[in-house]
Amino acid sequence: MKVEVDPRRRPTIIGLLVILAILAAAGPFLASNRYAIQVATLILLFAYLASGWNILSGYGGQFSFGHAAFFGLGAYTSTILFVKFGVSPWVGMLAAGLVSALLGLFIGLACFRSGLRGAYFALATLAFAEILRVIFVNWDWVGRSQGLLIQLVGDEPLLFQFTARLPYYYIALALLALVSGVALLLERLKLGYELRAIKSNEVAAAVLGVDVFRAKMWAMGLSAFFTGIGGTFYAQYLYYIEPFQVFGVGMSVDILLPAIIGGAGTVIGPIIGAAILVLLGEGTRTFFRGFAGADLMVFGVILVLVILFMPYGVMGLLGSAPKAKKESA
Amino acid sequence: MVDWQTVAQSVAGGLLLGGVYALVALGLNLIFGVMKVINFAHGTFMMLGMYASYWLFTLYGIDPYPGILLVAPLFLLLGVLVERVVVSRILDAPEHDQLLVTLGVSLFLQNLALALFKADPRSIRPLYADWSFSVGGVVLSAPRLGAFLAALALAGLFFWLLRSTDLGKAMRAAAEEREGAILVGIDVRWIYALAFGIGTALVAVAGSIVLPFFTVSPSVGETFLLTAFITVVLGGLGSFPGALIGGLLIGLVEGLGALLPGSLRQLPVFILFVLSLLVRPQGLLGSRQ
Amino acid sequence: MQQGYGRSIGRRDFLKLGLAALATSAAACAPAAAPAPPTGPRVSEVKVGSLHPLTGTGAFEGNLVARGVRLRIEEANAAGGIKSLGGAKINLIEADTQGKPEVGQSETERLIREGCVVLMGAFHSAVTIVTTQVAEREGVPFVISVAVSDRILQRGFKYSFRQQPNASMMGRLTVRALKEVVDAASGQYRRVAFIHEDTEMGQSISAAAFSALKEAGFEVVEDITYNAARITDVTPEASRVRAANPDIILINGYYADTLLWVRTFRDLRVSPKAIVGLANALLSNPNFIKEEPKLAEYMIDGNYWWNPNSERARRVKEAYEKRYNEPFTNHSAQGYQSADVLVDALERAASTDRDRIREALAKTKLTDIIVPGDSIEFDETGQNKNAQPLLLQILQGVVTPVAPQKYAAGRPVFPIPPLEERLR
Repeated sequence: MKVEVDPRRRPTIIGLLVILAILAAAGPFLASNRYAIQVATLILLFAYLASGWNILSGYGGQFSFGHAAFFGLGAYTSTILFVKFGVSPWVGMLAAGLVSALLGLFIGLACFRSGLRGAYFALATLAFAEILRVIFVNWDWVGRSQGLLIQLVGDEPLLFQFTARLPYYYIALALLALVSGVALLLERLKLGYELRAIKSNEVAAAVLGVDVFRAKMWAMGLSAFFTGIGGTFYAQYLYYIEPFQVFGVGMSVDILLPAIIGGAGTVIGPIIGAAILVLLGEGTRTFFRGFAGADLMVFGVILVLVILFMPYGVMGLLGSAPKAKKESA
Repeated sequence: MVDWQTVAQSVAGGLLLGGVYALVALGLNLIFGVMKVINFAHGTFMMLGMYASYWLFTLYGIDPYPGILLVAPLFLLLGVLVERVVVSRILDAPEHDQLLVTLGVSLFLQNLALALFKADPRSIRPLYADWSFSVGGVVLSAPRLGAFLAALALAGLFFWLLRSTDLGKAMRAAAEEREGAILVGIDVRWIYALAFGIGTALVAVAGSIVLPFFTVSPSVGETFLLTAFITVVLGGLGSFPGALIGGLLIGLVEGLGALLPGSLRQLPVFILFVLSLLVRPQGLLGSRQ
Repeated sequence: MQQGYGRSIGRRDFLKLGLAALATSAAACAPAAAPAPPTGPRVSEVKVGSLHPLTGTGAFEGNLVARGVRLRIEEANAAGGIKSLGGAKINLIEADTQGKPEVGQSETERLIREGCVVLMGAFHSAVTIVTTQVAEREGVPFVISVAVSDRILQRGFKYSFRQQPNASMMGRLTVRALKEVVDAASGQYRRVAFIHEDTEMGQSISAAAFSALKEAGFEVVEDITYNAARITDVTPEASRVRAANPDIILINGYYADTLLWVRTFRDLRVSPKAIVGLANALLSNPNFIKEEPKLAEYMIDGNYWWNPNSERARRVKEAYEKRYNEPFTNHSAQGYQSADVLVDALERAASTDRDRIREALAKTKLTDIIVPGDSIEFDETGQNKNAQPLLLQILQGVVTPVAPQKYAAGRPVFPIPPLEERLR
């Protein structure tokens, strides 16, 4: 498997490295301001989650509206392992990724074998996330709707707990670098090309000899894996998880929006999207303080405008997004 | 404790509400069938329809049922407006973009309602609120029975529209074969606008008939939206009889699901949904794409 | 009301002068903290943060609580601010949690960054768990305005304080008050159908109520959990309840869903000896009375409330209704009382130092309060040990506390008249 670096792709690698370097350097400066580092960490987390989603839905074109299923399952896996069995969340994180991947493969098996696509697939993923939510809300062992509290043990790096905020920032940054690297690699590997072909025109891809099912399953597994790990980070960051939050539709939407806004199917898109969305959210909430609902109204308008006039996100504006073939009615 | 009476009551209650689900699904189905657009704002329009009826009742004493004569045209216009301004631009966009645009519209309208009407839950007390009929030990409350009958009547009216009027035929033509319809001289742009308008009017009216027994608040649309999506897919995207049957079926399953412990009641519908997607993705009465 | 506050300030000032005189000759003082001077530095303002769901789920109640908080702060400022800080005005900064924990977390960080030295909030237990965590980490005192879950104060935190009853108290004490009322009636009424919603709130309160019911000798003949957000029809569940033939129906839920329950019971002609709410958002809500006057009559709810026999509470109610042109609710009362605790602590702390404020809070012994209880005093976990829910009943269109005796403003009616009679 020879990995060639296409000259056209070099800007992406450089762009990514520059962004990561800046973010890494910015850490200590941000740390002096508790609020700034909180916001920055959230940006990194959602950039990471959106990038994970991107693998299946951006590159692969299989739009998932239920990634909260993997996120929540990952969060619960590592938390249960820690709270009930004393397993370090670092190990739990890996377990979370694997368990979520398994769920992803299960869902993929069910959906892709039946040829579910487009809106059907999106709604099916939504339904799966909701099923998990209902199950967890009614399951005694995981605390039902009260969820699980992670005992604060102070500064215990081996147990994924820090009293300072900066370590979380760097962990999130590392995760983002990891998933972005995977996305970059994906773009070059055969799988990446297959996914793009499938996204563009699935029937044609099959005719050309692409094993559509296999490619989709790979994408699903990888996407679910990374999303599950993100769930662990979230759990270790808030020290508290409950089903309505981690399995909710809101979380699924929060995961996919940065990729859409920034540019699905690109490496840098989700990062830009996350930055825009989180900052916009903070900004409108502060600006419209006291005027209930105004910030979300603005948000809705912006969402509409972006899709109407920048359907390939910011990266599309910059001319770097792969343009998908439009579906004919 | 589960005796036959409880089961019968559950079935009856489920079917009654299923009629409303069917009406909501019909509107959604129309929009999808004709325009291939997935309207995430559908539930929000239902909420707005409920508010419209609420204010008509509270300020002018107009009961929701006669109020339909005012609500329907209003929302027909609103739907046409939204279609012309926003939806028409994404007719050819990938499905997820349509979902996101309509999500944006939904966010905007829902929070507009929040800003205007505040978060207070509101309900009305029409004349017939307390009336009920007992049929073989099963109690049917007047507002719910009324909603069921109205839903059926409106569905009937809608089918008549589709089958027998020129507009209906044009909509079916545009749904089935867009290029052909254009060739024959049908102005598809207005067909789409009207389809969206009628779909919106249908769901707003669904809101009106639900108001006598339901509480309205800005977030109430979400409850019905998910069920509507499931109904439409279950019945078959693009199939109107499917939406009708799907709605009743979902209502039934929901009603029976209440006999499960805990709040697992919500589960059967989702599981049914997933199963139907896997086994028969085109839905009960849909045709294979 | 202004007068009332002025009076209590006068008392406190007198006490402070007396203490100051004693302090000069006192030998021992509290080891950890330096003895608070009678007056602190002169500052222009003290920043205080208020975190509530102003949009999203819970926005309705969230806004009510926030308004209660705001009223108290405005009063304090109008009365001259914090005297011990030279008349410093309280700068109240409000934030919207949107009902989401991570938003609550961000907003908490932001408020701390903006200089808030003490925080209040957050209504949702899930959000409060996270916000108090942030506050604890940053060493910022957090006065819980409304949030019921026991777990919030079971983490060994030093900076969190809660004035309202927690879930266990709500469950236990409501059942106790209910038993009082039931026992006073002639006849045996032991069969209870228990209905509760499935989020954090419902789960924590119902767990406590369950054991309390068993202890009190009630028999739970039907136990139903439901999802408040998604429910559109409760006919099947209601018919299960009907089949179980309970004496008492106990409901823990929010406004719209409980209204659905009550109406469905009417439709199915279910006529228990009482319908009792457990921290129910509908059954002690004046809006309910407006919307369904006949159904609302005789409904009972065990909830946090203000003390009907408190003169100050009456004045606060008037002031609130005048200021906001809406009925004064128990949610606003909690907001008001919690802000009152905060203002009192600031006065005693005579400092904008967070640790001093925390200590002042820990030492709170407030007797001029608008909620039930002899005083507000916090135990070592930060919970007000005297917190007490009241049993309320809608009598002649007015929500009336009926138990415990000490805080009653009317006599309970139990058993309630049958449904047919009530609807006439």
